Amino acid sequence: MIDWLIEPFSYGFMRSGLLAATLVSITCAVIGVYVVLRRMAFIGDALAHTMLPGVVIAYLNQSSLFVGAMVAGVLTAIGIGWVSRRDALREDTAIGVLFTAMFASGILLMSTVQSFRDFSHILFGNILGVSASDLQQTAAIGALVLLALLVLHKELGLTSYDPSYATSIGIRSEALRMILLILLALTVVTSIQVVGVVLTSALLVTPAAAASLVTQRLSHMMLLAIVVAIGASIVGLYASYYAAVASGAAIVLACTAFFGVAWLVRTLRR
Amino acid sequence: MLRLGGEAVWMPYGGRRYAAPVADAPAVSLHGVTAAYPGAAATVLRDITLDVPIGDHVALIGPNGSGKSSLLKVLAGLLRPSAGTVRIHGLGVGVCHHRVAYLSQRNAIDWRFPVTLRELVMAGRFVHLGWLRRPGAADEAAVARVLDRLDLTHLAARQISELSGGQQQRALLGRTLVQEADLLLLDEPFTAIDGESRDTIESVLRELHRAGKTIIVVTHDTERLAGVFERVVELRDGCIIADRPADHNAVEVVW
Repeated sequence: MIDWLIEPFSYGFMRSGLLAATLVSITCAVIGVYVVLRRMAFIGDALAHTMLPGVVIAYLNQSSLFVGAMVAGVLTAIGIGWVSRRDALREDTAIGVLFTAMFASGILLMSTVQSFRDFSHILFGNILGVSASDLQQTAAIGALVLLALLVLHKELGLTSYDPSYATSIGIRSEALRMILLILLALTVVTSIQVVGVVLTSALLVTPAAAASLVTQRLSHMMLLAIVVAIGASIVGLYASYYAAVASGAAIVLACTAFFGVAWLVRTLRR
Repeated sequence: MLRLGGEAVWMPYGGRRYAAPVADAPAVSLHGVTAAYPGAAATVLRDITLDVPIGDHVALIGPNGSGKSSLLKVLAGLLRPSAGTVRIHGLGVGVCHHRVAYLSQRNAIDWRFPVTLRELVMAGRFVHLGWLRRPGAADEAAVARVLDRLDLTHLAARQISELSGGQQQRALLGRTLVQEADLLLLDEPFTAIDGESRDTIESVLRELHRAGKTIIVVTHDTERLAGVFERVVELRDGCIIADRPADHNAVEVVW
């Protein structure tokens, strides 16, 4: 049994994969709690998809895919913040139009390149191929995001549940929302490596949603979401090693399984 | 560094620090104020002119959509007028955030957000803390005093989602009290409450009045104006149609 548990992690790529998944899990789980409580789940998904053209353009110019994704993500975050300040369209409609257009542009650009396969790890993630520099970038961005969330904790909370009062004491709720969107974009960039563009909102939403079913305290919710995300990453990596299935999809489904357990716990408690 | 309430604000919200009120200026002075919500065609306030002296205790009444809440939002800096001037203690709106405490309408708050009653009340201290700083012992003590006054101490650790309507309104009033403001803007503090909470809130309002605070309250309840307020301002279709003492006989209003 112990051999069975240890064996996968005797390989370097599995150890780096686990480390990457852990780093990403922590960041996603913590910011994911705000995403779920502020009902921004759709925006997380949109951000992930809109990064595709940035990544493809970076690839075509042979520059860093990571930087390409980050630039596209931050621009989209600003775009979403800007669009939702106008009342001409409902926010979800505007985002729906924007993100499908961006994703389609990405696909269109991809089709101009000879091999579609080059991009499969962007779409579906390639956690077992992370390099030491990827890990450093992920750790640095994660630390930045967590530090920002810690520093802005009391204002983010207040603007989440009572933006009117927050505005009345001089906190610019819209500016704070924009900062949150940019932090979200940075977080999404890191999680693309682990589960890819298509599944990335799962890491943001599912652990936080599971935690919100079980506890009513914000700090407990964040801790529990971290536990769920890391737990799902470990389970997913074992599944991918022993059952030879796609690691990103396995991690996401493990998250879903934890969510199912949380749902059951809540139902039994009532 | 300037001092505010005995404590220093390092990084105040909106970059605004303490500003001294203009001597002899009324608490609130509106002149020719017209306002509409962004993106909406309808004007919600039309040419409003109103002075509220320091220490006045005003009830804003009127049917739904008459502009009562919008008037408070203009004073709280949530709605920018398209015309006219607004002065609070002789200064522009938002020049001195700590001096104006706004009690949001109950339905403007996400009551499902995971915060406790104590945390909600503590938010009233944020304007004195600004960015980065966390509440300290003095803030905790201020919150404890207010919770005690509003008979909420035993509920302090409860999630706000688990409170009754009356308890939620008392918690919101608690938050405006710990702000230690001079001007209180209360948007429907008597909505969805029980008799006990109403008595508590009314007695706190009377205490604030005796302490010389200026209070403007939006209320639908026109039956109990006389004992609590000294002046009643009535709006309809965004205009002031009556401004009279609260004990005036004409309190019977038919909408």
